[in-house]
Amino acid sequence: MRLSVLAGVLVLAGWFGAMLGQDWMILLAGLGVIGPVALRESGLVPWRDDFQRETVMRSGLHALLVSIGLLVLVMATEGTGGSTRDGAIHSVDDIAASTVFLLLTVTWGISWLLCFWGPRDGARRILLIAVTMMTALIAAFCVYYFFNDRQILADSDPPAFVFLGLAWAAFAVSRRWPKLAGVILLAALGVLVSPFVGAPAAFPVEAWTPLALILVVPYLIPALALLTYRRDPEEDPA
Amino acid sequence: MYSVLYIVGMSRSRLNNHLRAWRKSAGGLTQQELADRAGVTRQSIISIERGKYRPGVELALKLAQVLGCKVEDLFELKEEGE
Repeated sequence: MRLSVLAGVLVLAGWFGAMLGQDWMILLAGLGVIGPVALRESGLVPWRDDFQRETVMRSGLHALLVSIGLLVLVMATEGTGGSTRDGAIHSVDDIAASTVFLLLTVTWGISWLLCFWGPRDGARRILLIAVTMMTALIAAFCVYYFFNDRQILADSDPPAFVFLGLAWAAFAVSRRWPKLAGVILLAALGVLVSPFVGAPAAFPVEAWTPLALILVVPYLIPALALLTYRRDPEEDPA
Repeated sequence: MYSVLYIVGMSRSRLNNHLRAWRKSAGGLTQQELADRAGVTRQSIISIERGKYRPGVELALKLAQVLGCKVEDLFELKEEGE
């Protein structure tokens, strides 16, 4: 399990660095995705058990299917060589490699956490990771602009902070009241998505997929998992 | 032995799972304790007991050994139409 934790840290650190402009750090994310599976399949590091191996493989299959689905959808609706000046995705060439990698990483990670840990504990882990990343990004944003341009901080929208508060509250109650946590998360998503719905022209279509993967999917999936969770009365407490 | 191979090999087979009952009757082992003795993760035991995961031959034999029973006591095929 320590290797999985290390892999997760590498993936998150890599994406975090890349989002802050250090593109080379995406190599860390790649290492986190490929490394553990390569080490285990080569026999250098043993699998904890067959269940762990099966969940990793199944999650990888989910990621592959979702990515193929996206690519096929774009290819099937491919335009006749239109430009990207309007921000739309006209062909598979317009899809950034980073978008595909992000899709693979997010799908694989979320699927594995849910398959291995189960709906409630997996959802809690996904939520913890997502909210921690969001908090770290916003904190970095605040620190940077505090020392460079405080006016931007003063003009920043409160929804982001409201969203964070709701998301952390959802995590806090998720263990004991998973359905309540799911409701809170959906409310948080409503707060988060509302600015995008109100001003679609401000966000190019090509940015929607990464935005959805970073801002919506990591909260929507746990919300649904927590809302539909059925407690097993005979399960031993962790 | 044939029954164990049959259980593992038939991906579409449906099993009746008595692992939880045997675990509780074997001195009230917790899922973590059973996992430790069988050399697997607690999540494996949870998923097996919930019927979400079918163990392989080796794990089925280990579980039976730890619980002091036969594999057929833990897992049995559902009757057709059940």
